[in-house]
Amino acid sequence: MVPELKDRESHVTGERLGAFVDGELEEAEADAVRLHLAACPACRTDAGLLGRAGVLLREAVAAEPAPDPEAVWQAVRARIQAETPVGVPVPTRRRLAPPAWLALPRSLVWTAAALVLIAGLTLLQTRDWLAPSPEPMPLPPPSLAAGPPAVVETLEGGGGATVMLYAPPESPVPVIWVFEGKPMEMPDGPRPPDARTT
Amino acid sequence: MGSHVPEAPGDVALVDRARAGEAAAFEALVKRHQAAAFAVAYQMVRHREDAQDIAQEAFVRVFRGLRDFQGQAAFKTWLHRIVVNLALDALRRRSRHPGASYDDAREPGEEAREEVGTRPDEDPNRALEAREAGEAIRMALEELPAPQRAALLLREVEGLSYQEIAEVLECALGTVMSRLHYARRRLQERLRPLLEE
Repeated sequence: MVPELKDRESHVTGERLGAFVDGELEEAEADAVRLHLAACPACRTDAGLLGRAGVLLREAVAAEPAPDPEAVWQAVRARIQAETPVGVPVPTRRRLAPPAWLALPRSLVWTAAALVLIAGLTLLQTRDWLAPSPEPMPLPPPSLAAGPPAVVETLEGGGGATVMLYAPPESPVPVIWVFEGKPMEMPDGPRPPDARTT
Repeated sequence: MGSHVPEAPGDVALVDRARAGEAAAFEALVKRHQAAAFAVAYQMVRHREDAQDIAQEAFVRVFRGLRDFQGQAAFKTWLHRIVVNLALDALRRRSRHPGASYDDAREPGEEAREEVGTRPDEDPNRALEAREAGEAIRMALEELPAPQRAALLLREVEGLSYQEIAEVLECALGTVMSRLHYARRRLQERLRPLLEE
């Protein structure tokens, strides 16, 4: 008789009986329980019920059909490939760790690549715009010798300002003149000194 | 003259080969353990699709963790820990939405087992007993708190040792023993009419 195995009714406790049935007791404890069971029909019955309930549980679980192993493998493989685009890259000690971006969702990787491409193209185009244009050749003053300038458009704006669009024959770049106040009558000669060019 | 049938590689060998980059070894691990993973998951959450999802996710996590797995526990123990934790997470999410019906046995459109006749070669009494037992066990498992349910399944169905169960459930050995005792007592109460036949 091992007192610590028994409850007040001098039977093996449920926990200890379960551990005995499961083969989890130390040898000395198991021997003690075995001795008790030989002399105690109630505990023998309880031990039998434990075993029988376990059998029924296992039978009920086994009755539930298991999934097809190949289908499970394909599903697992698909999940792994969805996370990492390179085949089934099983991790290995010998290989370098894959770049962190491989672990990103594929859609995110492609979106980032597209943005980089667009940004690059934009920069290429912008570079032309941003590149300092060669110092614009100063417009030669209209030369009397070259003949009178070709005035394309003259607008009289409000506030007493006049806008003149001037296309010099020597340059493809049009010039916009803004005269404060009404311009003087345009002679066939140089522009008034107070004219502003743009 | 006998033919030598090569012994199937153990889990340790398959894990080593899978870690070294052999996809076939990982495939073998999945196929070897997928039924057990599904069984535990299904008996925990009682919903076939959720259980399949849990089992598949568990293997994905195994794949991700292969590099760091150094055999500090048996592969089966490691896998079951992942499965049980995923199942417990699913049950916690479910408890936050109590209105939804998850029990496979109650899914609409599914033929009730009672309406399906026995197979010609099946003993009708045995078939009835099996159905009653199955229903009693289903109810007993559903009534169990999730930790007790997990301990019972890991011991009775998967045959894990108490130490392994303690590792899976991350609890003490004494806690494993008390959870098992509680679960078995509830199971026996539910199965008493069948057990006393």
